[in-house]
Amino acid sequence: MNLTADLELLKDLLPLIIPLVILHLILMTIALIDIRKIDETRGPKYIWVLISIFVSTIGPIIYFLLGRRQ
Amino acid sequence: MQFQVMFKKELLENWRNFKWIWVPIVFIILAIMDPITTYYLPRILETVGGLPEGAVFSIPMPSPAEAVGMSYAQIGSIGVLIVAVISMGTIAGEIRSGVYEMILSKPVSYANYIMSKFSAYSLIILLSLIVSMIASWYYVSLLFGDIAFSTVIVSAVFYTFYLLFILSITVVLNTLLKSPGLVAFLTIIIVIALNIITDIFSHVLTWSPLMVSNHTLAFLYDGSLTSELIGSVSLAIIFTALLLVVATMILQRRAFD
Repeated sequence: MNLTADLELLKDLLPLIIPLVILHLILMTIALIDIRKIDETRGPKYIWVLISIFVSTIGPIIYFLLGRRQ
Repeated sequence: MQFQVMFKKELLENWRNFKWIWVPIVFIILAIMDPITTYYLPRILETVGGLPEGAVFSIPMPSPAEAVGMSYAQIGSIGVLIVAVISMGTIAGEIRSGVYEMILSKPVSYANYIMSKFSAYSLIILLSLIVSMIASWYYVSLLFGDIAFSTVIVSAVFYTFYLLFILSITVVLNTLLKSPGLVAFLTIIIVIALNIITDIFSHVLTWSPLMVSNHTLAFLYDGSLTSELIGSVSLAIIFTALLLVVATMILQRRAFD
């Protein structure tokens, strides 16, 4: 494929993607803060840390839905 | 007075487990994902896809109103699931862990207990929906063309009543069942069943609370307040109130045995 078309698409998408990236980072950060603060999670903590960091966007959501032990 | 104290406790609790932050963010992502991917689909296919040379296909661009409708479609499916899941343990979990008996051992009325919980979650849902529709409006007007801000916000307010109706179903199930997972599961089953019934008898049940989502879309498209929209929203409010009364009565009955 031609590189210029790729770059062109990326340039157009960037202003739209940046807010999504920021939202994703906020989600990840609050998930990590919560994992740090909480006494006990369902399952080992380090797994939730890995999920929150590496599974983008859905990871932190899954943690908040399933990982917290009330 | 008593209500205020309990309401503040609920707000604080939802703040501590970050529901005030993550639920709006998830709603925003749901609302803007579809308009963005639809807009860029042709170009993404062009750049990435190994399409044969000369393959021509046109994907019709949705109108601004249809693009906002896509946001509602996402919120109507995954958003409903999230409403059910965030509120699934609010009473059932407290009954299970014994916090419920601790609270009710003080002179607290059941109605206040239910109302404080319902109001706290309603605020989260209202905030999430308004914020996500503002985001959707912003992206749609960037990508697809102008749509009146007021129309989108008013439609979001109407849609809120649909989600509050679902929240009240969750609250009732919360008083009946002990397992939070079962509450969420049954809520989804009931919503799906009600949807199917409403779809089958859609010519008769035009005022069904579940038709609020359809009528809201119609409102988005032509901006006219139909009697069906007003009717279904009013019925949604009435049913929500009734279900909350039922939930209170169930808790009272439970206390005697």
